[in-house]
Amino acid sequence: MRLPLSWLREFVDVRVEPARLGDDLTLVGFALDGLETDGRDAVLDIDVTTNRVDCMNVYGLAREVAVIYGLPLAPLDVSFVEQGASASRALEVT
Amino acid sequence: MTDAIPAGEKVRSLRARFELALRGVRDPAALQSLHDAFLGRRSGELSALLRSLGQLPDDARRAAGQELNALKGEIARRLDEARAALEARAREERLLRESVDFTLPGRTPPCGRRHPLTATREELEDIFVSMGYEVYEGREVEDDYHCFEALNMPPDHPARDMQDTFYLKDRPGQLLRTHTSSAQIRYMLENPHPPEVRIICPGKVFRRDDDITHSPMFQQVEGLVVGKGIHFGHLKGTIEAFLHALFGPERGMRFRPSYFPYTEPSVETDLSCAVCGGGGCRVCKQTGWVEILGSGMVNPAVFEAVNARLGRVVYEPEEVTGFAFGIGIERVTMMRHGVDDIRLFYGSDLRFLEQFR
Repeated sequence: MRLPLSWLREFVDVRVEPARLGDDLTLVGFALDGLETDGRDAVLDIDVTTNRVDCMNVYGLAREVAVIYGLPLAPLDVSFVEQGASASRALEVT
Repeated sequence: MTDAIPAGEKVRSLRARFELALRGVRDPAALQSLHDAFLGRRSGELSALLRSLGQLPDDARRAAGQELNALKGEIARRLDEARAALEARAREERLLRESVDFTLPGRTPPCGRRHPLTATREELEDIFVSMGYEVYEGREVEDDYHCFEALNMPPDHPARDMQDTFYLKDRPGQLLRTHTSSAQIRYMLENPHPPEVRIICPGKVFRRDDDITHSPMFQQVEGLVVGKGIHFGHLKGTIEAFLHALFGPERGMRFRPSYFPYTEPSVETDLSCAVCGGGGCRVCKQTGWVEILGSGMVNPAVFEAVNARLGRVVYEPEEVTGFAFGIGIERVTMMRHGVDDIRLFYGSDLRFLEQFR
């Protein structure tokens, strides 16, 4: 999975160098397959094994990173405002 | 002819013509023609002149006869000299043409050699046989049970995403095995001395993948050890031992957690990158490490599957444990020899193959 550092930082304030982060993730089971950087942002190509479906998304990896470094994890805002017609009315099958 | 011209004049002109003709002779055939033209019994000029002696008056005849005979001897002698000279020259040329410079180096007869993948495989077999392992091959055409189900990969499980399998068109349920792990199952089912296992399973495996580091057919060596009291230390020690035997006692290696459905815990082992020594490069994708093998402690689910198939408990998970590993033969060979394109192994190009001993 390709993980942009900038996106990761929306959920956990990790300050280590991308290469170091890749190494630390590798040693807990998320192997770094590749690293691209343009000076400002970096993208880590992480091999997430099929037993960790919970980490096949940015927030899941942010959770892991928070645990590795003992950092707080920003809560995920999943609230939304209900609008429009009821979902059960959205579709009719005949 | 003999009437009109005086004898002396004839002799002189004959001699002159002979000399001229002799100069143009280059080979024995021409020499023979020249001989026949002058001295030949029937058509030779000199012979004709000798025969015509009878027409001369008595006093002239003796003198003419003496002159002609002297000329005949002279011509014969000249022909002999020419022949000798021609033969000498022919012999010289033949010696020159046929001479052999025996100081030149000899031509070595062509010599066959093992394919580099065979060499690696045999070396691995030697290492493990010396540690008391048996070599068991399994089979390349497998069924879903041995290749997946018994290895804790039920149908429709995401773990199967890790493999792109070749299925056989007219043989339902049959496939080309994607890893040598299927041999573990086969062996445990036919184990002559259960529950003890010490095997390696080298062989070809098949996956739908084709690029610079992947070939649809490639080779792995599987290892399986089962018994009472087998633990993770044995796994680490065995792997360190054989990797050091293959790559040298000083080669850096690291173990890190991973996942396979048939091992728990699972481990992957990396070797320090031979190209950059750990600094980071294209080969190791900037990480300094190259993955080389996967392993782990046998997941009890595998023992349970085997027991279920056998209809009785042969591998009791509470009593025996085991470890298993799998290594790619091409990967090892590429790392040892600096080969960067896996397809070279299967291209049959002699210019590549001849570089290996």
